[in-house]
Formats: sequence, structure tokens, C-alpha cells
Amino acid sequence: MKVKIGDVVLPGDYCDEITADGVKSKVVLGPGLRKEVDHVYIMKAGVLRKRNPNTFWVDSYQKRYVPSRSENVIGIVVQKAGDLYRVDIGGSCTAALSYLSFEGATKKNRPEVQIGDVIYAKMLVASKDMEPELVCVDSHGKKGRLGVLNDGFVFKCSLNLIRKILNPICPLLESLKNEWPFELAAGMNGRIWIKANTMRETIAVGYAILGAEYLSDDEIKTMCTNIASILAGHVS
Amino acid sequence: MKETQISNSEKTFVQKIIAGGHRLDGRIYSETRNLQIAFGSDYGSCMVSLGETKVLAQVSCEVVQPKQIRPNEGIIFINVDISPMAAPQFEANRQTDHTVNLNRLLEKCYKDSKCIDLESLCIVVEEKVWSLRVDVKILNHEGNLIECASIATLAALAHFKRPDVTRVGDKVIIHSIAEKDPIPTVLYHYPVCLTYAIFGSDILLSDPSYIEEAVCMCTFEEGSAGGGLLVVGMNQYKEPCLLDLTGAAIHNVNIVHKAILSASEKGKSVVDVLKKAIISDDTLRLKRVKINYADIITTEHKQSLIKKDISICLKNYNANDINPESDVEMDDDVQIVEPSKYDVVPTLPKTAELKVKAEKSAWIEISSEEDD
Repeated sequence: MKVKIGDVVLPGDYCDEITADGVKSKVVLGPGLRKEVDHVYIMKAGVLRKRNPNTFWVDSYQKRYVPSRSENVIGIVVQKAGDLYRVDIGGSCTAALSYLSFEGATKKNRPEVQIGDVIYAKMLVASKDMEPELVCVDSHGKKGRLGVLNDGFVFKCSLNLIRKILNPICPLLESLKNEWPFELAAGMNGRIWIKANTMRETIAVGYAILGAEYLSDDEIKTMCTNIASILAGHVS
Repeated sequence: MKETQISNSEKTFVQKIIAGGHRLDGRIYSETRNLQIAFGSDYGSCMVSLGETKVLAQVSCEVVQPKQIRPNEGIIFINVDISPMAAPQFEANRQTDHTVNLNRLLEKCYKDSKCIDLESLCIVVEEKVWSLRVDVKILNHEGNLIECASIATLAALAHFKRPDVTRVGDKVIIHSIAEKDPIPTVLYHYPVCLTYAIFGSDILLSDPSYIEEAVCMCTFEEGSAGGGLLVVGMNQYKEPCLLDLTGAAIHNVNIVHKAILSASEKGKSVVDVLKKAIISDDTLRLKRVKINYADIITTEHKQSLIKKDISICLKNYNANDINPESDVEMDDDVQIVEPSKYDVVPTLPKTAELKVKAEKSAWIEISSEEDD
């Protein structure tokens, strides 16, 4: 079926607008779109989106992570294998993390990583035929924010929610940060690590994030103030 | 696919929060999740959901030859099926320890407790008896499969009706439902399995969620007391029918007693809910109202998207209470949140940092050691 930008689309639909744009200039096909001989076909169920001038993608609901390069993810170390750590990132297979890809690590000086630790890392290699590879340093050899995350709590959510809260126009983190202090690391693989001063505050952050999935911007703001007033004990 | 490992931070967090007297989803120790029982269009078909854990049970019957040693008793057979639909770590058509354990527990609870009147299932001694087969299918695994599966099995058995039979000389006639009213299964008592997660030496959590089960079952290198899962089978007369412990041995003498006391109350309330559901279903059927899963599946589907019970929740805080007038009870010490002294400052791409606001502190330091 022929569809337009902004429509709800199903796999097998095709969009002529993209083909027409492609004649004039190069277009970027994002997730859920594939070029066949004559048309651009849709491969996922969702909403067809466009960002000017020429980027197209399908906004779909997904929980399974498909690795892609240069994304920050949160993984759990499941195995030590020689000079590699195997990290579960929620994808189809585990990712490899070399023990040399930590700041200041040498052959003699191994980083202290235990099985079961939570790792915040960047995706270096994400080819569909190979095991994904992670690093905990940037191109200057500095760790930045990457590395082992201690304490706190990790929970899973949908990939859409991660994109929603990391979107600069989303008011969630903006309103939460004014209520009480907390630390947060959001992995694009649908895992969020949070840490606050008390257990109660940590749970409140987690609850606010999970609850925000189907709320509008205004509702998110009210929810944040509500949770804060419960935490503060103003509501009896 | 391999089961995802529980990270160390999740483990310690859950342990700490339970030691502090709370649970991740805001329940109290003895609180269970929301129980729902729905019946299908056929007799003996039912779907039970306990929070997000969902189990479908279906009872079917056929005429078979009885066993040699019990020539006048019917046969009951329970089959549990866990597919990747329940959780991705399960494999299709493969018997795992988990499946065998669940199957065995249900058999213990319903076959060995003799709650079903097997003699009433006999048609001709040594020749023909009814064989009941309970197929239990796990639809979603979100912790506490045993309790959910056992309620589903019991509800399906109690709801089931077998066709009536008449004997004319040597011939046996099985009547269809249209010809003669079907006969319900006779149950002497209604046993249900109730699961308790043991944390430390004296904390009992009823209806543990997936993460609580995983945390209490994992072993610790440090000498801390290991936990385990205690399954108590209890009928509506407050008689224990089954006791099963997996995990570490129990140090505390009182814990089993405590579990049985709590299970006797809970078991009765579950059976009451179940009986009420069956009676209301029967009256609806008498009025010829069409009953099937169609309506609950649509509402359930909506719920699974909106997710009414969020797995992480403050005590007594509901996702629907967005309006500030909600009466939410406090359970903790009152904490006063000061106006934020912190600011989230973007540092590296995609990351941010907590920084103390560059404001002057409102506090003035006064030395307490003033000279008189």
C-alpha cells in the first residue's frame, strides 16, 4: 500500500515521496526502511517520520536491542575469557570488551572488573556478521563517563523510552533534576542505571522514568512534582 | 538464548531494600499482586494472571483403560509447557529442570493430595475410565510461576465438566453437551500452592517477582545467609498439602511455621476468589451469555502496553494518580527536600554531570564553642 509521511505504516508498504526526493538529491534511509529496485519499502510497523532535508525513518516500538556503532550502552559482565570480557548488552549475542580498552590499562595493569559488574561503554564495532565490540575509552584514551558503574540500580525499559528521555525537548530529566539529586546513565540498549542518596529516591527516579513512557510533556511535569511532594512528605 | 544474568548492583539494591522493610514494587512483605481469573468458552479452559505473570490451563478428557492396580479409578495427567513466549531464555519443546520441577509440584499438589474424586471418573471397572488431562501453558513469566500455574490448574479443574455417560447393557453411551447436562468434577478440597521467597534468616516475601526470585536464589560468596523459595500447598480448610524448599537450607525454626500460618489465610482467600469466579461464570452461562477470552484479551493487551503495574514503584503510589489530590500514604520518615543545590551540566556528548550550583550557601557557620 502507498503511504505518506506521518502515516501508520506496516511492513510491505512503500512510500513514493522518498523515491521522488531521491531523484533530486541523496536521501538517508533510517531504521525500518529498505530500498528495493523500484520503491522504498517499509520493514517495520510504526509511524513513518521525516526530518528535513532528506532523512527518513520508521518510529516503531521495540524492546530488543540491535547494536549500532558509536552508541553508549549499559552491559553486564557475564564472563572473563582470556583478555576479553564478555558483556551482555541485551542483543542477540554478547559483546566483547578487551581489558586493554580501559583508561590507563596495560598488559600488567588490568582493570578491576568482576563478573556481574555493570559497564557503561561505547559500541566500537557493530557489524551484523560479527560479534559487537565495546570500548570504555574515547579516541583520546580518556575514560570520560564510561567504565564500571558501582552501586545504584539497573532496570530495563523499551528502546523508545530511552530515546524519549534523552531527547533534549523531553522535560523529564529537566524537572527531575530540580527536585532531588541523582545520577543516571541511559544505555541505548534499553537499560538505565540510576543512583541517588537514598533507596527511596532511587526508586522514585526509576518510577518517574518508567511512568513517563506514555505521558505527555505536561503530564510528566505534574508527575515529577507529585513524586517530589510524596518524597518530601507534603502529601499526607 | 541464555538467561540474562542479574548484575551485582541489582542484587545488592534488592537485598538492601528488602532488609530495609520495603519491596521494589512498593508492596509490603505479605502482599500479593493482583489476581485475575478468566474463563474461556469451553468448560475447563481458564487464564489466570498474577500481576504480569500469565498462565493458561485447559482440561480435556478421554475414555481410556484404567491402570491394573487401580481398576476403579480415573486417571489425571498434568502437562506443563514453557515456551519462549513466556521468557526468551526458555527453549521450545525441551524439558528443562524448571519445567520438570513445576510439573512435579503440580502433580504433588493435585494428584498426591487426592483432592479429586478419582472413583467418580470410573465408567466400567477394569475397562473404561475417564482420563483428565490438564495442559498448563505459561504465557508470560514475571516471577512466581508456581503459584500462578497452580491457581490456573485448580480453576480449570473446578470449572471443567465432563460429558454424561449412560450404560445400556454392555454398551456405554457418551452424551453430547446438547443431549444431557455435563457433570462437574468432584473436588474434595481446593489446594493451592503459595510461594514465599526467603531472604536472610527471617524475612518472608509472598508472591516474589522475577527479580526477587532471582536474587533470593543466587548464592553468595560472602558468608551471608542464603535464601530460597518455599512453596506451601494449602487448602481452604487450612490444611497443608505440600511443602517444598529450593535453595539454601533454613536456619530459622520459626520461618516454616510463619509461612504456613500466612499461607493458610492466603490460601483461603484465593479459593474464595476462585469459587466466586466459577459461580459468577456459571450464572452467566445459564443466562446464555457468550463467554470467551476475546474481551479480556483486548483489555489485557491495552494493559500490557500501558503497563498498570510498573515493576518499580513507591509504596502506595499509583500510576493513575497524576492529579495532585491523590491520597498517598507515607511510609517513611519525613524527608524535607531542599531546593536543588545541584545542576545537571552537559559535559561530554550524550552525558551530563551533577554540579553544585554556583550560589552562595544559605547556611552560616556559627561556632558553638562560644566563650562565656
